[in-house]
Amino acid sequence: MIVVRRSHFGGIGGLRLLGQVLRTLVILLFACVMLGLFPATGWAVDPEGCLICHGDPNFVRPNPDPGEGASLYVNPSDFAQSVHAGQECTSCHRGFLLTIPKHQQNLEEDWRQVVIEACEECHQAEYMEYQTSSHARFYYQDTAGPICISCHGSHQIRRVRVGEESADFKMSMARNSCGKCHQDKFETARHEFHFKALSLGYARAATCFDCHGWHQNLALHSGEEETVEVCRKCHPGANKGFTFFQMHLEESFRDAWWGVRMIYLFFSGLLIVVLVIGIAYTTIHLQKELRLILGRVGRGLGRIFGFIRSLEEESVRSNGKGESAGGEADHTEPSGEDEEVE
Amino acid sequence: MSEAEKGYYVRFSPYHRISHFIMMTTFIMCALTGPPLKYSYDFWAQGLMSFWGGVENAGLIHRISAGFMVGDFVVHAVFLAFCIVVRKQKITGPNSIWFWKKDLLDFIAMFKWFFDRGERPRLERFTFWEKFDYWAVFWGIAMIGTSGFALWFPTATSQVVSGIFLNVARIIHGDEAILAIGWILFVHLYNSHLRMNVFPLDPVIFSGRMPIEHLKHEKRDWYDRLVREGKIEAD
Repeated sequence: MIVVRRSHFGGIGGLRLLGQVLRTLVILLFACVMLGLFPATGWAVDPEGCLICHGDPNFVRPNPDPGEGASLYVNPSDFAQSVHAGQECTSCHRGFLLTIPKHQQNLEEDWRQVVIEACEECHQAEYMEYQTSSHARFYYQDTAGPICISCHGSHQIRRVRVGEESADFKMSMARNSCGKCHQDKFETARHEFHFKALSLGYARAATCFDCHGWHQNLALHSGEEETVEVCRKCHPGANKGFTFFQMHLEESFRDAWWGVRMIYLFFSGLLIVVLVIGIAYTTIHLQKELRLILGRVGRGLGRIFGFIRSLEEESVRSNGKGESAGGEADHTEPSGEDEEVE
Repeated sequence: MSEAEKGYYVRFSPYHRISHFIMMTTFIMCALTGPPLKYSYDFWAQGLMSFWGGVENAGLIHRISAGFMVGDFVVHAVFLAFCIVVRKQKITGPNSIWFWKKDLLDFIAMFKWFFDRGERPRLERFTFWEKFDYWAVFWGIAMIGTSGFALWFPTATSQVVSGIFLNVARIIHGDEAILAIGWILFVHLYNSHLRMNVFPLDPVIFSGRMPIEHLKHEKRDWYDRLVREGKIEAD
């Protein structure tokens, strides 16, 4: 499902703003509920009244087919914010009629085809591009193949201007739309600079569709003229050699050219060996110094104990030899310790 | 020698102090702007990156710092050439930072001292760990600098070599940077500042001046040589 994050604002200022917006929304929502205004707002978005039933989160299919979701819920506020909020439900859900308890529908007709044609009605150019894509080829061979809503979602599509996509949007498209099927490709690509920068909010960094296109979805290969053209969109000086940069390598470079793998192993090994030797040397040095410090502390303590003992001895001496037994037991112990320290 | 400087030996010339200061500051800046990109998915990366004001700013700081660092290195290379060619200083011997046999003996003696099997070695002007730290910079600049420039100008790089070398450059740049940061944190900082004799900071690299008493304790062979050569007065 396509999720377009609202926030184009980064950082703390953005959070505060988001907090204010959320607080306002909550207050408004509360006011709407209290004033019983919900049917009216619903009506504005949904003149056909579909959301009367479908706006209920508990509205489920009584006997769902295996593999079919049970929920028939459409989040009214999500839909109200979507780019299609002005559309009536039946402009996409064509042929649906309100015949409660069950919609009459030609079950012979595949709903997927209905969806594609519904989208085509407004988005002809995209439809034509899709028809030539490998996604469409896959779909026409097997209905499991992706159609428009597989990537774009359905009721929550937000307005995005091409070329002005936010980093969040790009990241979420890669993860949730492309990565839904091409998980291996996403997992490898996210360890490259483009996605790392993207994940840190750098919206100019390329995501899947910046290289592979939206509706024609190209497979790109090193050394091909097509790939050079794609790279040149951001790297004007790119030549054929440039396309031999590998975007989808495993993090351990197991699938890379052996030279790259060797270099990776050599430098990782060097990193570990040198740091281990360095830290071991430091630790051994440290233990010596700690023992020296402890020795100094010990000598200091010895001096303090010696001083206390001398005071005691003095007081014993001045008190006469009355409590000689207790006194001797007291000062034999520290004197032994003192010798050891000195 | 002024009255204030009595009891001190000037170990580092202003050039050395400035050179080290530039190396230190640019290194810190690179070490704070680079890793958040390498570890962008870790919990701390986002915060550190927003501190710099985003990837673009951090990249700019990283590149400017790298430029100054490499500039510092180039100036030092010229300085070295000047010392050898013009001043005709010897490449070997006690005043040289190049390795010699005594480094190995000092290293062994140091370990004997660590385990109470002998006295602390009587060190010369440059100890083996100082020499290692010094020459590590050459390795680091060669590896991190070259790979960094390759990544900075990727299309220019691919004019010369295949694009796969950008993958290689990324590996080298990241691994060597982590090695350098780890070495500085765990080894260099300890040896130079956190040892008992200098804790918590040895100002000699910033002020250039070292108390002669401290010098005598730290580097006995050098002290004896300086006394012999009449450069300092014996206590």
